[in-house]
Amino acid sequence: MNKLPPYLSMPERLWHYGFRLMCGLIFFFLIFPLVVVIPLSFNAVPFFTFTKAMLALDPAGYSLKWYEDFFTNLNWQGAVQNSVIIAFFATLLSTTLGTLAALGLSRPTMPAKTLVMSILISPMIVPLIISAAGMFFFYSRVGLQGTHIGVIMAHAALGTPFVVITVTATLVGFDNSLIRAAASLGASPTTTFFKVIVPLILPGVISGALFAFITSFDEVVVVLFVGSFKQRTIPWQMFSGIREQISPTILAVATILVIVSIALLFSVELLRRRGERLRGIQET
Amino acid sequence: MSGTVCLLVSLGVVALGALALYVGLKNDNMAAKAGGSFIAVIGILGAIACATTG
Repeated sequence: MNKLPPYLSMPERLWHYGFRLMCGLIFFFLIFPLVVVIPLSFNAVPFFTFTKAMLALDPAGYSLKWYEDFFTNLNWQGAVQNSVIIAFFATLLSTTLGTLAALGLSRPTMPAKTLVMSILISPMIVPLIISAAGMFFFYSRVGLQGTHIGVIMAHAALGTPFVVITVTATLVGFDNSLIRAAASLGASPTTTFFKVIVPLILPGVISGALFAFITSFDEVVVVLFVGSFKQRTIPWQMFSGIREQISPTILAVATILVIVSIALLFSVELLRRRGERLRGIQET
Repeated sequence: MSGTVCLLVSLGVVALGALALYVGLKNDNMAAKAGGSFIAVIGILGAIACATTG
């Protein structure tokens, strides 16, 4: 830790430590709700509170039964299955449509660019309950209400703005002369797209796809309107779990997702650093 | 939806997560790394669910 320069006045020293304390408190405020879920998922009783046995570190106060419930309960497994299928197809749809829209919007000759952009990102701005109610009436009329395709289309509409924004941001620094150079060398528009444009915009496309996936994965309002019991997703199951019966299985699901993701991330990062060290690349 | 299709979709989700993780590692993008690992885990849970429910 760097020592403070000796010439600093008392208010400057106070500000130095006060600022760090403030940052620490904000960090704690953001992280604590995620961390508190982990010990509560091992609760032996179906409550969202720390019992006396848990606080006394009595083994009888802890249990893995909520994890067992998650992996054996068909309601939960069906919800996971639906969530994965719906989020996957919604992501594919929104990534394809969003990327194409962003490419079109980035062309200098595109007319009414601002208006089209406003319409495309409107699902992000309009309150979700209004979108959900509108989708419910429209999808009921066309026979898509209560179907997987209806929920996938609704989630794709919600995820597309994220892809449009991230890909548009990537295209800001894109050099259009590369497209002309590829064309002058005899590449067809399709070849130019896959060999020149896609590799350059891939980080933006992937970021947009991640946002679209997460938007679909944790969305509950639209599913409640557009879906039926057959399309119940994890958030739906969690919502009904809280409303109808108190089940810490939700906490077990959250813990699995958080712990395994962090473990995977750390393992991959460690492997990358080890690989770089073996190849003699210095850490910058 | 049949178990095989469900399993294939789950593996697709794992692949999407792995791709995001790869892009994140290549460009040193923390959001892509964290999101990719999160989605890969979701895909694995999906595959388990497909195997459980048949």
